[in-house]
Amino acid sequence: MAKLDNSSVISTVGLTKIFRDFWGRQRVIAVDKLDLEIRPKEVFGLLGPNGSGKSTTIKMLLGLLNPSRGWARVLGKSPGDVKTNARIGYLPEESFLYPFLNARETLDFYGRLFGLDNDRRKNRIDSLLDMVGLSGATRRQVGEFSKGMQRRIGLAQALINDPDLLILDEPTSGMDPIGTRQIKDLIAELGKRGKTILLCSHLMADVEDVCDRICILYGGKIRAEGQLDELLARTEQTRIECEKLDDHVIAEIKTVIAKHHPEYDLKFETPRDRMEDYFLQTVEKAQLEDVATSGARIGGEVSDFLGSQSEDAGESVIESLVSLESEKAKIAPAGVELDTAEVSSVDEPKAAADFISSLTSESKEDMTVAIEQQEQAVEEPAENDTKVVDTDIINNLLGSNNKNKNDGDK
Amino acid sequence: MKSIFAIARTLIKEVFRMRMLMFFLLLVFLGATVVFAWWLSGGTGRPEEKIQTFISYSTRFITAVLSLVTIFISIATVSRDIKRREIFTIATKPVSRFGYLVGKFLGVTILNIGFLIIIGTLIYGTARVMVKTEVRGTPDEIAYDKGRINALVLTARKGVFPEKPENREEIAREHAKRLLNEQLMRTPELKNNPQFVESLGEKLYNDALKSLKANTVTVPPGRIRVFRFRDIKVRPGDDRVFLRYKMDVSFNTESLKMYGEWWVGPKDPTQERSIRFSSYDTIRKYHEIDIPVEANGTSLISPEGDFYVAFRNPFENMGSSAIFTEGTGLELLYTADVFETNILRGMFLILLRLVYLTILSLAFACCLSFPVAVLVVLVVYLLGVASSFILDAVDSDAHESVGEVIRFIMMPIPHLAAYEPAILLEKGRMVGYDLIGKCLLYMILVKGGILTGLGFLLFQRKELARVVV
Repeated sequence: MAKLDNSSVISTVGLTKIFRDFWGRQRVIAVDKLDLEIRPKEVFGLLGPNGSGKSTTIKMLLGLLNPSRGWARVLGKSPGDVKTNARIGYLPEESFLYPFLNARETLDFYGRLFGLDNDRRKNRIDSLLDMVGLSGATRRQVGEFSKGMQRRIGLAQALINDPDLLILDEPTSGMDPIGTRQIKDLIAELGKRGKTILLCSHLMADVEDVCDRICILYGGKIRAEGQLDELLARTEQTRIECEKLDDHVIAEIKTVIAKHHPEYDLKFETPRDRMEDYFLQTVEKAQLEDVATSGARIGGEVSDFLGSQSEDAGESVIESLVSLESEKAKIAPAGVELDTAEVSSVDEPKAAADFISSLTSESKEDMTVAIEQQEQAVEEPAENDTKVVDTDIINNLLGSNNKNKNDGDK
Repeated sequence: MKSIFAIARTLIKEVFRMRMLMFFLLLVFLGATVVFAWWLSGGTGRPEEKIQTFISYSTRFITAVLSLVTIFISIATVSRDIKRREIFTIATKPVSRFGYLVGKFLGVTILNIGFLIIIGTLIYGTARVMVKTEVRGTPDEIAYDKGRINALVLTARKGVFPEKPENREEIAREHAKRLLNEQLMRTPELKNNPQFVESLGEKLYNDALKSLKANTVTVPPGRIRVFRFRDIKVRPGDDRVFLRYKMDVSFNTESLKMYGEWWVGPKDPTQERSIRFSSYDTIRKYHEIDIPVEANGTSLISPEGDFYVAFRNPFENMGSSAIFTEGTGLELLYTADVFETNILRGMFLILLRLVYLTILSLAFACCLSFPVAVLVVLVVYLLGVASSFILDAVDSDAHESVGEVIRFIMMPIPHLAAYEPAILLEKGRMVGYDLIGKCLLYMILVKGGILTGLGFLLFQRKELARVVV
C-alpha cells in the first residue's frame, strides 16, 4: 500500500466510501481504495462520468463525508481541519449560497468567516466582483441570479481568502461560453501564480484546456492517471499549422514529404474558428457598442491579490515558511517517496509544439497539415518572440525536420 | 470570533428578510398590547384588575409566540443549511462546527433580545397609558385608584412567608421513632420483617410531620397563633406593607365567611400589641390588607427586619378552625423595587426560557430533519409548560413505578411553569434575582449544557454531505 505523502498538497491512501441505507446495509461503493496524490502548484483534473465518485472524493477531502476506510491528508492535515480550511477555496458542484444575501453581502459573509479585516475584505470584494463580471449586479439577491451568475459568485467566494488550494467541483456547469472561457483562463492564470488546483469535471474540454495532470475515475476506481500531454499525445502524427499557403507551396510540401514518405496520407485543410471563440468575439463586439444587460458581464482582470505577495506582506511567517517548504518540496523531493513519476523539467517536443502554437495563435487564416510519421522531431526556434510566420519558416522547419531525420538516420 | 459573529449576523439578516414573518410578529406585538388594551378598556372592572389582566395575558401570549418563533427559527436555520447544502460552503471555511452552532445561537439570542426590548417597551408603555385612560372620577377617586395600581400592580413586591418552626423534622423523627419502638414492643415478631419495619417507620414519620405542619398553620376557635416574618427590608419612603392571606376552614360556616382579629408589630403582638384590626372575609379566597409601616411614630418592623402577625380565631366562626396552608395561606408583601426594573427582569426571565429553547432546538436540528425536530422540541416545550401539573398528578395519583418512570422522563425537562414571569408581573410581584439565578443554573447551565454537549457531539460526527441510499 502506498504511504501518505506529507509533501503533497493532497494525498489519499486506500480512500473508500461506502454509502449505506437506513438500516446500515452496504448499498453503493462510491469510492474504492483511491490512492491519489496532488503536488504543490499543480492543476489536477479529476474526471469521470456521473456517479464515478468525483464529488464524493472531494467531499471526503473537505471533511464533509467521513471515509469508510483509508486515509486522506490535505495540506498535511486531516480533512476538515479548521486551520487548514483557511488555506482552501472550495466551489461545490452547485453554488450553495444564501439566496437572501446579495452578491456583495455574500462575499462579505465569507470574507468575515475568514476573519479578513474590513479594508482587505472590501478591496477583495470589489476586485472579485469585477473579476467575475458581477460588478453590475452587486445589490441583487443571489436567489435571483441565473445559474451561471451563481457559479460566478460561488467562484468569487472560493477565492476570497486567496487560497493555496482551490477545489473546484464542476466549475463551468451552467455557465455561458463567456463564463466558461473566463473560468478556464482564471484557472490557468491561478495555476501560473502558484496555486494548487483540484478541478473536478466531466467536461473534457474544460480539463484539457487547463490541467497539468489528470485522473479518470470510473466506479470509484482510478482508470487512468498521468500528465495530460503524455496521455493525449498522438506520437504517431505531426501537425503543422501556419498562415494560408498558396497551392504551389502546398504542392511543393507534398512533393517534399512524398519524396521521403510516399506512403503517407497527407491532409491539407482550412481550420475553422472554435464556436466558443466566435461567440466571445460577438459578445465583445456588443459590449463595445454598450448594449445594456442586467446579467453578468465579461469579467475583468484576475484580481491582483490572488497569489500576489504584496497584499499579504504582513501575513504570518508561518505561512511564508509553509510556501517555502512547498516550493522546496517541488524542486527537490529527495527522500520523499512519490507514488507517481516526476514531471520532467524540460520537455523539448512540447516546447516546440507550444512555440508553433504561439506563432499561429493570432493568425486569422490558418492552414493545418497533418502528417503521419513514425518519429517527431521539431527543432526549437531561436527567436521565441517571433509572431509572424511565413512559408519560408515552414520550409525551414521542414528542412530542419529533414535534417534532423537525416541526422537520426545516420 | 469574527466568523461566529458573521454567522450570527447572517442569521439576523435572514430573519429580517422573511418579510411575512416580520409582518406577522409586528401584528402579534401590536395585537397583544395596544389592541388588547383598547379591547379591555371597553369592559367592566376596576382599573387595577384591567391592568393586571392586560399584563398577564399579553406577557403569556408573547412568551408563547416568541417561544414558537424561537423553535421555528433555530431549527429552520440549521436544517435548511443542511438540506439546501449551504453548510458545504460554511463547514469548509475556518469555522469549527461548534463555532457554527454558537454563531446560530448568538444570532437567535440577539434577535430575541431585540424582540423582548420591543415587547417589553410596548407592554410597559401600554400599561402606563392604561393608568391614565382607565382611572376616572373625582380627584380623590383618581388618586385612590392610581395609588392602588401603583401599590398592587405597577410595582415589584417581594413576598415573605412566615418562619417555619425550627427542628420540625427532628421532632417528627423522634416522635415516629418512639411510636415505632412501642409498636415493636407490642408485636416483636415484626422485627423479622425489616422491610415492613422500615416502611412503617417512614409512614409514622410522614404522619407526624404532616400533623406538626397542620398544627402550625391551624388556629382553633378562640385561640391565637403568632406568625413571625423575618428579613423585611422596606425601602426608605415606602409607607405600607401588605398582608396577603387565604383562609381555609375545618368545616364550612353558613356564610362561607370567617371573622378574624389581627395584631401586627415589631415584636410578639400578643405581648406588645401595636396595631389591631378585624376582618370578615370569604373563605378559600385571597385577600390583601394594607398595613402602614409606622404607627404612632414607631416602626412596626424591627431594625432587624422582624415583623409579627398574630391571628385570633373568634368564637363567632361557630367553632370552625382557621387554616393558613403553608406556602400559600399567609404571606407578607413589601415593595422591594420599581416596576420598570421588574419588567426588565421579567423580560430577562423570558429570555432565559428562549435561550433554553434555542439550545434545545439547535441540538435537535443537528441530528433530525426539520419537521421531526420541531415536533420533538414542541413536545418538550409543552411538557415543560405543564411540568408542575404533571408532577403534582404523579405525586398524588400515579402508581409508584409509573410515577418513577414519569419522573425520570421529566428529569431533563425544565419546569417552565416555575419560571413564568407573567404570574409575578401581573400581581406586582418581584421577579427575584434568586429565581433568575435558579433558572440560569438549572435550566441553562445544567440542562442546556448537557443538551449543548450532546448536540455538539452529534454534529461534530455528522456527515454533512451524507447520502442515504
